[in-house]
Amino acid sequence: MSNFPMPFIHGVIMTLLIVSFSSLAKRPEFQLRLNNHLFYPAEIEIPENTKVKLIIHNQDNTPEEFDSFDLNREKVIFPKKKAIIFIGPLLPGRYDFFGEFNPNSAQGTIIVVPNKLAPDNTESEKNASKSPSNSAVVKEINHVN
Amino acid sequence: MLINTIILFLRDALPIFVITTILISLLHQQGIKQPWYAIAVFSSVLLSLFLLTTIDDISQTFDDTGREWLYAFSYIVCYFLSLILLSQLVAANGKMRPRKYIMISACAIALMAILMTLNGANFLIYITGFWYQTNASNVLITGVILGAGICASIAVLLYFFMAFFQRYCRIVREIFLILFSTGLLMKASNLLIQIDVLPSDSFLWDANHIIAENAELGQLLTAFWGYDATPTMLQLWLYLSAIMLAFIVLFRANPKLSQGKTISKEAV
Repeated sequence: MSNFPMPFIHGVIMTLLIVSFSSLAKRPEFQLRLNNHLFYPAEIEIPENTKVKLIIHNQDNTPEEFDSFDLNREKVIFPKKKAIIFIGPLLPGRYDFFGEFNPNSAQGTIIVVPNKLAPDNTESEKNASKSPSNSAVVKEINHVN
Repeated sequence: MLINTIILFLRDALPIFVITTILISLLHQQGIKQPWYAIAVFSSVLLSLFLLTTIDDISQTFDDTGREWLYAFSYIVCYFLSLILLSQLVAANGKMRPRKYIMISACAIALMAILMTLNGANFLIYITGFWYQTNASNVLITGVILGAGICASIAVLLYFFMAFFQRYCRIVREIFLILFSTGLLMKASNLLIQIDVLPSDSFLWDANHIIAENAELGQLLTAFWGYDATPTMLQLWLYLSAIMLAFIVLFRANPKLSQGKTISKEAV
């Protein structure tokens, strides 16, 4: 222990504190589904300046890589598994994402809306495992068409 | 699928070709020949196959963030391996003792093996996932051959670029290694931000309209020194600190470097 200078130890403690506080915070959750190389819903609205947890379920038999240059995120999602990505805080606007293994079909957009217009995700969270929400169904139909 | 295979191959293989070229060039300069590379390739092939079979389970650990933890930790290890390698290389200054020789070779093998394993497993996930689709195997093989050709061309150009610029900047190879390994730290920070371990502020700027990250030049810069079009304050601070630390290590290992004196047999 005496080999390490005090500034180094302070730095490690500060880093651990930052890490702990950051990962302890409870984030709003949003669900996304990948089926037949298409994202459902193709568009998700999230509130501005808020970090959110995006849970992506891959229902295909092949792996996919969630990728977004706008969001600076990439993550492999294995077949029949889910993946978790945190995004934000973001300014209002449209942020595109795609499946890197099937970029022509697997495409979607995160729409960041001002807080007053942001959807209440509490209800959609409850229903996510049962059936997609109405807005999701409408967007699904648009997506397929 | 052909274009996609080439793009994915370039993304995963180009960093391997770049670090290979830098290391071969650096070690050759110190009179260390190639057997270390054969060991690194052999071990990384085995480790890639092992990682391919276990990555699915690893991903599900730590609340589905296991893969990010593994990759981020490995990239951080690679950065520190680069620092050790640099300090040993410049301290040796052409006088290679057996202990230093082993140390340098071990660091180079570990650095190469880790990177080849991580990137190799990444690409194998794609290959194995789509191999059995109709007519996919031919397209995948063609994509890999074309991608390897592009990577090899860039590697050869990089080798001669470093050899040419050594007459103007004696530590050009060392600078390339520093920038490359700092780029790995940037990748690690991105992964840790992605799983909410590191705080993510708003982006400092968006340089996509100058050099788009998904364009050819953007991909090339990402492979060379971890170019990020939308960094956060924490990442910028991390990037600059890591570069500064690397140069401190470099100049402390051989103070003659800062006076513009030679570091290699060739230069002597």
